[in-house]
Amino acid sequence: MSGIKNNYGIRLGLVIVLAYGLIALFAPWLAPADPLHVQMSHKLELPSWSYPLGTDHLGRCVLSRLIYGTRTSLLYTLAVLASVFAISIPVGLIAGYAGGRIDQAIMRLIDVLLAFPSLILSLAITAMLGPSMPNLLLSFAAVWWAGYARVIRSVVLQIRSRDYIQAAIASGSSHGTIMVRHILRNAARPILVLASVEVGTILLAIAGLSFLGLGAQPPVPEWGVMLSDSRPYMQTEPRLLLYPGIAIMIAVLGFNLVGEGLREQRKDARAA
Amino acid sequence: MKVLEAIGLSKVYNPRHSWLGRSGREPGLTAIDGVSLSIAPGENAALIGESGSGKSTLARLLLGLEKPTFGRVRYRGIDYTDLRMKDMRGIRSKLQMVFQNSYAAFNPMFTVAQIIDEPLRNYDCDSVEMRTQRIREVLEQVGLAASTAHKYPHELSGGQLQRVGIGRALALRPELIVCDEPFSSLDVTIRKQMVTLLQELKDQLGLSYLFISHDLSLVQRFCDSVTVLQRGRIAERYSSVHLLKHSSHPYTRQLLAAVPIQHPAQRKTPLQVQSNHY
Repeated sequence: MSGIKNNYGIRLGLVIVLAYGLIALFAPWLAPADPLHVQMSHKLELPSWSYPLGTDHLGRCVLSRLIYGTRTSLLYTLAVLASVFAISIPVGLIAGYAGGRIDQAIMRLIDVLLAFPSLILSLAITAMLGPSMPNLLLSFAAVWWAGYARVIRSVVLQIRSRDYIQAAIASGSSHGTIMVRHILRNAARPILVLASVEVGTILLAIAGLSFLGLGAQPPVPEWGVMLSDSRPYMQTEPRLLLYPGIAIMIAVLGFNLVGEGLREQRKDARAA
Repeated sequence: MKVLEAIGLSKVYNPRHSWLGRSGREPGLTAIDGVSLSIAPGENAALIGESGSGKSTLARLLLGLEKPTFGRVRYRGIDYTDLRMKDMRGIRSKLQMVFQNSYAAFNPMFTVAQIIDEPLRNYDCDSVEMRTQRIREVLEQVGLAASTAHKYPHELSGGQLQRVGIGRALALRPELIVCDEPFSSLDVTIRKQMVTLLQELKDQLGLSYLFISHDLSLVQRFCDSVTVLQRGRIAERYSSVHLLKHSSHPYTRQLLAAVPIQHPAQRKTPLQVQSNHY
């Protein structure tokens, strides 16, 4: 029973994610107007045929900005995810495989990093480096790898204790071969599930920091930036906040559905 | 010259010096305590003892999968105790192992061909064709169909998997194979097939075996010498398994008493089992 229910969740999630992906990919063809084109004469207009979702305080097409915002958000989410895993996979792999002092040293460093609230720490780093998207990416990677490295280490530890690792050593394989061919290959699936569960969180964090002015900088079309731009008009034009809010909500929902679904499937597969 | 020689091997887990750890004052766990043994070419040595007596740890020490805390291990007089992973490769090819739990002993992502290929690709600079040839040869030696090569471990039965395990050990043409409880998960008929297979391979290839087991009936049928391990130490040693039944050592008597008899008429007066360990 639960398998079917999960299946629906995963399917809905995949449809949402795919839709966002296509929108991001084909943004220039889908957007009705230039998202950066300022027309003060058209500011704060209600939805019309030429501006399906109306215009913002600078007369820019809201729908176009949302569509291009999808591109910004997905791109940076993927970039953050990639850089976080580029650090956490090798670190977790080495800590779990080497064990002993190397493991101890790495784990204590991770403990220190995890002792800080991660969002606050990346906020501080971005503020220090100067607010911009590349710096945001850097600060996320510098802070968030710790938690993932810890999880990856535990996956590696589990695999490392299997007899086939001993067998690989006995058959003369080198540490590198064992780490890649045996451990990483078997850890790939749980790592992928971990990644898919966390995409939503990262997306939300990027929008959050952009809203605070530490991520994407105006006039770049990005959901968090749109929210903060529209904040002064919360009372008079609440729809301007609603659109990016809904876009973020649905995107996070989609990614979470996919991640949860994959995790459930994995749990079922392990139980079976 | 002895194929394998161990002198005063000891293994202590969690010794005191641990960096930033909760080392405290715990003395550590002594798994193996001053064990010496040697195996001659063509010998079928047996290592028996109950669970937790340190048999598997000893096997790992002998194969250099773990470093002993004290003591030396030698292959044909060459000391490989302190060799690094890379320098050890020459010796590893001569000493191979068949693992206890056949399901955990194979990477689930590998096919049988890849499993047997792994040791080959580490040693032979030979071409892919030659390795494929060798894989086919090995599969035939252990009595598996050539079609097995493309199957994954989860598609095979326990007996077939154990054959793959033996095949992987054979691939490098070793001189000694350590079998760690190789048949404990198999049923009696397959166990018998396996013993026959190992005997045939030995006759063909002149192998030596170190059998780790608590199945004394198997040991008595198949092995030449026997070493009894109790709580990490050697309790007794016999150059012939037939002497085992005359043992007066209380621990050996207990192990012998645990062997199932084949017919109630063979039952002797029940032996007093003392729980003097633990």
